[in-house]
Amino acid sequence: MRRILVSALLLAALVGLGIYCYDAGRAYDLLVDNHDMTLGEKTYSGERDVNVILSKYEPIEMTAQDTMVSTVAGKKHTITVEILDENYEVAETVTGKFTLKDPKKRFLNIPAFLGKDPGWIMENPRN
Amino acid sequence: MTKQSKFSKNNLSHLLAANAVPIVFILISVIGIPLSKFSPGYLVQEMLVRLSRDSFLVLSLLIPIMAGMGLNFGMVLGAMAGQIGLIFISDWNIVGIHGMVLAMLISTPLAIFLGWMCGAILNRAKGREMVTGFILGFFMNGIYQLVVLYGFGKVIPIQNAKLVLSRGFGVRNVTNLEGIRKCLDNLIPFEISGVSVPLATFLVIAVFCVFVVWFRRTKLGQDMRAVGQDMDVARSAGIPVERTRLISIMISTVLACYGQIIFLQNIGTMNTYNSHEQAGMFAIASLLVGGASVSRASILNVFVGVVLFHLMFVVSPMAGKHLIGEAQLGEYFRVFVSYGIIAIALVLHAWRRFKERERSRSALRGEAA
Repeated sequence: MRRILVSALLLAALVGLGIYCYDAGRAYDLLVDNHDMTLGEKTYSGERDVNVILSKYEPIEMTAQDTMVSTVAGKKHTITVEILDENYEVAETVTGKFTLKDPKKRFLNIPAFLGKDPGWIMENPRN
Repeated sequence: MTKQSKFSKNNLSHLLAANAVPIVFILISVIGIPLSKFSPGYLVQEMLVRLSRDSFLVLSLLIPIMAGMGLNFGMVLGAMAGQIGLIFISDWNIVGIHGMVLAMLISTPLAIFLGWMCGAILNRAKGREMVTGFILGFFMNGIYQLVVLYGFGKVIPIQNAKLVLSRGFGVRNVTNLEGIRKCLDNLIPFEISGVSVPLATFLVIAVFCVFVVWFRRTKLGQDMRAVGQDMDVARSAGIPVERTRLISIMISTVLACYGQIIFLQNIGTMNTYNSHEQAGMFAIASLLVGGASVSRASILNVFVGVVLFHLMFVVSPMAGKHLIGEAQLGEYFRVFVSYGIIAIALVLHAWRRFKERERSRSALRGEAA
């Protein structure tokens, strides 16, 4: 009886580890966009050059009106946006956290994020 | 005095015979290294990478040798199981160390089943385990190809279009493992004077070595050694011989499965239909080059073998190129040397066994006189 219980617990632990690995290791392709964006009545301008850092991944250097693809693993991430001045020096840094809940929403609009719009993660509007 | 010199001469010849294979390879390396014109730094880096890549696979061969089952040619079954796990994680797009661990978890039940099957068959072919394991590898290769070429996409759903052949089913010849490439090797970044050391992989290998040392002292390990020495005596002592042999093959197959995953995470790409074929042959050749035999192998043999075998692998193409003058001929030289060393290792192994028998026969005659 004890042996069965230990085996069952071990099996459950391995299944749990498998589920955790699946969830934490799944890669998602994100479109990081620095274009102008109109959400509702507000328009956010994408005229600034920025460095976008998603979690611990390599920074993405983006010029104005730029779109890049970034692959990230897992659903929970941090985002750091460094706004650059004319000399390409960091003028301001904005950070935030996000979770990729909706499988259709893989489009991150940086001007909307900087404008603190809650809808900055959206479905690709160009589809 | 004459007796003493005869004794030391016998001892020396025995030492040479016992270590003939590594000695030949050391000599070839000593000649080849200057010819190749590689810098010491480059060779050290290459050897570290190859040690981390191959040691786990070679270590998986130790337990069946302990149980007297010889070199486990059936380890390719474990390698196949590992590759199935890697195909799944590539399809699901699971990356990094999580992907590697998930591939191991997925392939473990399959490796256990294949190991059990292999062990059960080898129990029916006592005394001919190596050739049976070798042929079993060919047989299972056919099943693997059937599953991967027709099952994936038809019976087993595949979502990733990049993974599937254009006809809609079957996995492509090359599976890209970019998502897990060097995820274990680079887990703990460590550098010594410009030489990158895959520390995390070496830690895993060290844990495996500790496991082997610990395992030898357990009841099961002692039983395996007893079975390896004499099956009839072990049976008389109440050891379940068949079960012990079966467990040794199962452990070896599961460890070979993990070894293949570690090997392929380092490479970063997988030859879907023939990566596993090379795994068994090269691991066994490495172990033999390290001075092991069919009945005796140690952890030291594993590391010495991997270093010497891969030193030859790295050095031979360039040595051939500089010796002959043409890069293409160097490549032929590489293939010639690669397969040649396996043949030499096996021939020298057979010669060493013959010499050992002759020596024990002459010792017996000496005692009788």
